[in-house]
Amino acid sequence: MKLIRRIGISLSLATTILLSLWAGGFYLAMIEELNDETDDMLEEYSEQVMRSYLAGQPIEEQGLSTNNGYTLKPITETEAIQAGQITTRDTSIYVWSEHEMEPARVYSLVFRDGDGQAYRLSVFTPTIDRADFVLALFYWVVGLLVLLLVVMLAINLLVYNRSLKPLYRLLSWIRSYRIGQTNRPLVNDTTTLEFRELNTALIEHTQRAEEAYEAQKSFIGNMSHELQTPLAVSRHHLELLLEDDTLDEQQLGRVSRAYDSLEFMTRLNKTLLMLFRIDNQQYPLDEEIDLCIALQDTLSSLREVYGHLGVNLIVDLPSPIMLRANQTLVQVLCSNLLRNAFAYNRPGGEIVVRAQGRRITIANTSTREEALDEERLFSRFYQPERRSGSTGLGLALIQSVCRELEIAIHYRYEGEYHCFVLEA
Amino acid sequence: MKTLKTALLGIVLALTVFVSPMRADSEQIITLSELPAEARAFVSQHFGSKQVAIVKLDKEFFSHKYEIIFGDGTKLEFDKRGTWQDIDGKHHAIPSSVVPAKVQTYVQKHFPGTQVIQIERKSRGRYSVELSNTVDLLFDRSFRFVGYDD
Repeated sequence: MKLIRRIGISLSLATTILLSLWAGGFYLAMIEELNDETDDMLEEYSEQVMRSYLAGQPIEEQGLSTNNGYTLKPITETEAIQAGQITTRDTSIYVWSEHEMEPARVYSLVFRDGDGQAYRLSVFTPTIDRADFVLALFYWVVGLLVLLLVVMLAINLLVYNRSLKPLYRLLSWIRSYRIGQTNRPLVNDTTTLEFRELNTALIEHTQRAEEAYEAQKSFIGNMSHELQTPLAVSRHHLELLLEDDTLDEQQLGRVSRAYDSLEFMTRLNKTLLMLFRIDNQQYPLDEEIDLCIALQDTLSSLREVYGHLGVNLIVDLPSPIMLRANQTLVQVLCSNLLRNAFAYNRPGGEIVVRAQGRRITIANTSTREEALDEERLFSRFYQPERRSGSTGLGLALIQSVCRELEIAIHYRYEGEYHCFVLEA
Repeated sequence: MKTLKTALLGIVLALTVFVSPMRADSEQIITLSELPAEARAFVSQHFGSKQVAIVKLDKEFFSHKYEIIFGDGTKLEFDKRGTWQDIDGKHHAIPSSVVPAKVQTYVQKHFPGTQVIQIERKSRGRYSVELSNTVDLLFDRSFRFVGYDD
C-alpha cells in the first residue's frame, strides 16, 4: 500500500475516534449546563413564588422569563407526608395561547405556611426553545467536527507530501539507474537528516558498484586478450604436428581432436572478445551501410556452403535500408543470423528474407518443430539442443550488435517457421 | 495495538468522569434536625417562634448551602458549618436580635423610621444591609459604615 494511503488511513481513524469522543463529551457537557441553568432558574422562581405567598404579597405571574407559570395547591397531611423530595422532570403542558401541548420542565416541592398547612408548589418553564437550541448545538458540533477532521486530514497530507518529496525524487533516480551506463547525477537537496544520509549512502553504493563492474569488465577483456596468444601458439604447433609424417594414424587422430578442441576455444574466445568490445563501444559507428545489400552478400556466400541441404530461398528486399553502423558489426550480424537459418534448417526446407519498410523478417523452417523459449533464447550459452562445435554465443552476439546499432529484435514461432524480426 | 486500546479506554473514562460532576443532584429537602448544630442554635435563638415552611440543602460544587424559609417568607442561608450567610425578611423587618448593635445605631441615626429587612455577609468580611426604603448599606467587619452597596 502506498505510504500516503497508509498514513492517511491511520491518521483519519485515530483523529476521527478521538475527536468524536471529545465532541460527544463536549455536547453532553453543554446539555448538562443548559439543564442546570434551567433548573437554577426554576429553583429561584419557585422560591420567589413561595416567599411572596408566605409574606402575603402579590405573586409575580411570569417570573423570570416569559411563559413561566406555577401552580400552588393546598394538600392533605397524608399527601404531605408522602411528598418526598424536590422533583424536576420534563413533561408536556397545555399552552392556552398556542392551543396545543408543548414540552416544559417542571420543578415541584411541598412546603408549609405559618399555620402548618401544606402546599404543593409546581413551577414550570417551556422548553421548546431549549429543544431548538439543543438541536442546533448538535448540528453545529457535528458540522464543526467534520470540518475539523477534513481540515486536519488535508493538512496532514500536505505536510506529508512536502516532507517526503526527497524520498520520491530518490526513488525515481533509483528506478532510472542502470549500472554500466551513463546515469543522471543524483540531485536531491534536502535539509532532512535521514534523506541526506540516504543520498550519501546511495551515491557511495552505486559508485562502488560501478567500480566493481568496470573492474570485472576489464578483467574479462584483459583475460580474453591474453588468451589469444597462447591459443594461437598451441594451434600453430598442433598444425605442425599434423603435417608430421612420422606419426601414425592413432597419434594423428589424437592431434586432430586436440586441434579441433583448441579451435573451438579460439572461436569462443574471439566471440567473447567481440562481445566485450561491443559493450565498450570499441566499434565506431561511422559508416552508412545498406543492411539489405549486406544480407544479400551473406546469403550468396552461405548458399554455396550449405548447398547440400537443398534449401529454398525467398528473398524480398525491395528498397535499401541504410544504417549508421560499423562494417564489422553488420557482417557479424548478417553472418550469425543467416548461418543459424541454414544450420538449424531441415533438408528441403525454406528460408524467407523479407523487408517491409524498416522491418526485416528472417524466417526458417527447422528440424525442431516447436517454439523456442524467447526469454532465454538470447542468453549466453543457451542451447535448446547441444550441438558440437556450437559456442552457444551466436544469438547473444546478435543481441549485443542489435543493441549497439539500435535495432529491435524479436523472435516468434509462426506456422512452422522460426522468425526473427528486426526493426531498424 | 494494545497501547492504543488502553489509551482510548483512558480517554473515554476521563471524559465520563469529567462530565459526571456536572450532574450533581444539588437540591434536597431536609428536616430542621438535619441542620448543623450551629445553625439550629441560631434558628431557635432568634426565630424560635416562627413556623418553618421548608428546609433545603443545596449541594454546590465544593460547598454546601443550607436554606430555611419560614411561614412569613423570611429566608435564612447558612454555609456548611452552619454559620449564617444571609438573613432576608423579604419586605418584613428581621428580628433586631440578629442585627449588630452598631448597625442598628447607625440606621436609627441616619435613616430614622426605616427598618433592616436584610443582612448579608459579603466578601472580605463586609456586610450588606438592606433597609425598608430600599437603600443598601455596606459595613466592614467591625460594623463601621463604609458606603453604599449598589
